[in-house]
Amino acid sequence: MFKSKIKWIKKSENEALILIALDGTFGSLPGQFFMLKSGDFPVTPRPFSVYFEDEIRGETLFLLKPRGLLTEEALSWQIGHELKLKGPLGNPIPVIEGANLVAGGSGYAPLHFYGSKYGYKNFYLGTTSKEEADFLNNLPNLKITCGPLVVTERFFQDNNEGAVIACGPTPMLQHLSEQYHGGSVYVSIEERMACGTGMCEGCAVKLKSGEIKFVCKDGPLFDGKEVDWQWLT
Amino acid sequence: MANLTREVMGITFKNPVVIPSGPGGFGLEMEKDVLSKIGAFTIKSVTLEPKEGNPSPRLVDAGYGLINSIGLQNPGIKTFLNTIYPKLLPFPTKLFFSIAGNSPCEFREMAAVLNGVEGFDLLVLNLSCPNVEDANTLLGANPESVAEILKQVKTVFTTRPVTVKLPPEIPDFPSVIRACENNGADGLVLFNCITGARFDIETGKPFLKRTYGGYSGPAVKPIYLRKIHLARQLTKLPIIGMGGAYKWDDIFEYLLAGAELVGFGLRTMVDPLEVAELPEKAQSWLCKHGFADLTDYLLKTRKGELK
Repeated sequence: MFKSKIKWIKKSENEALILIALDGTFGSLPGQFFMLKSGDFPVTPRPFSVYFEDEIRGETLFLLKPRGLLTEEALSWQIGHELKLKGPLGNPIPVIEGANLVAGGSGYAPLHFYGSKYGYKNFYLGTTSKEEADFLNNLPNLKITCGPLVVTERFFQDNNEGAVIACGPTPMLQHLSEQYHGGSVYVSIEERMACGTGMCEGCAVKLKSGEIKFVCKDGPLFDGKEVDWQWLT
Repeated sequence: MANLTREVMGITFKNPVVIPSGPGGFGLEMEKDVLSKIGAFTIKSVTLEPKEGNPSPRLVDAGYGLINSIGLQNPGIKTFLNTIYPKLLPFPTKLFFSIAGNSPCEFREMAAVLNGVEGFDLLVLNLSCPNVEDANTLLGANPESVAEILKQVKTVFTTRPVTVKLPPEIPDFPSVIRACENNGADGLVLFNCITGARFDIETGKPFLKRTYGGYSGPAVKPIYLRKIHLARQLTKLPIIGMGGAYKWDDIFEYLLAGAELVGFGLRTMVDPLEVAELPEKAQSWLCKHGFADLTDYLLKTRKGELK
């Protein structure tokens, strides 16, 4: 792992999301992720998709949701705090002309990077609070749902057509994959991992063909119609 | 630089740092340069038939350790030997081949095949995977099973040393050790992961699909050091100690407890490059403290015990 320091840090008003900028760019492409670690604890690093790589300012951005040992500690991080990184890991999202993007919560990170770099047809974002919605509302024509109307319902209401790339909670990805018939569904799957390189075989995904794949080295993007969702959930 | 060479079971290791079976996979993702800096690498356990492993989630973190429930995913020994193994050779350091099975017959069948397979230096019988529903989990805790498996394996596997990987939870440890000694084990791999569990307070469900998994990491270090130390009182068989070793100074601590070689599992998952740096850090410390080499250190620190 190598080291980098936090250049700046922003939190949503309700502290439900944290955006950090690390010093340096590392040749990341949309869809790729890093294993991040702070000090000696927790021992195992955590995977985070790149939110944006800003070559001009020389910084790499990550979106964190405080819900575990590392991300809750992140609430107290200050500028200059040193993190350890391994990456970029995983395969980039291939460029799909005119794709629709659907993100749930912190699943916004890889799609924000993709949308900023390659554009999109429609971009849907589902959040759990108005504060999160305000915090992430930073790309043109974002269609944000907040609260009970889940983002997939809003997506279906608009009678979309064409390919969709989605990232968010597994039930959301499953719902989209099973219910959307207007085009291909590509899902960026989140799964717990320890090494990020395919050795530990922790982040397994089973395909309907019976084949076992790994989020870290075969993904994170999979064809949603090929995934065996029963095995995963 | 101080010499860290170890002679164990007739094999010369450049240093005592070992990557245990599992965290490094089959070694394909690791750079040869990294592997060349450690004493030995163990191939993730292979079984007679293919195994798809356990459904996700397979991992849950516990801060100072990790609980895994991989379930021995592997393509089966035949496919492994035909497709993956040739890619590993020539291997840049000593290579341990680990096999797991449900019965003495399965172990014998695999060992018979491996007897004529070149390119590895030592056989590990994994009698302690905590993450499968079949018999493997319990084999290593039962002296009769250990004895029978060893007998069968030693009949057909004669070309290299055979070691036994045991679980940390054994009701009658002295009997299992005797079963190893009396049936031709050349060494012991102590120990596999201890079992653990975690539950999600929001959903009320266990984090792992199979509820229980194998817990490893620095949190278990004192427990494993004690168990290795106990084992050392019971036997003169060489011990490959593992479970909780994470930092460079753990090399010394596990050797002091009674191990000959030391496995670094979770650290391998965090970063194999950091594992490759451990021997050099240990060498610097030995030099700084005036020890000529590792043997000198062990002789001086354990002079009372070694006579």
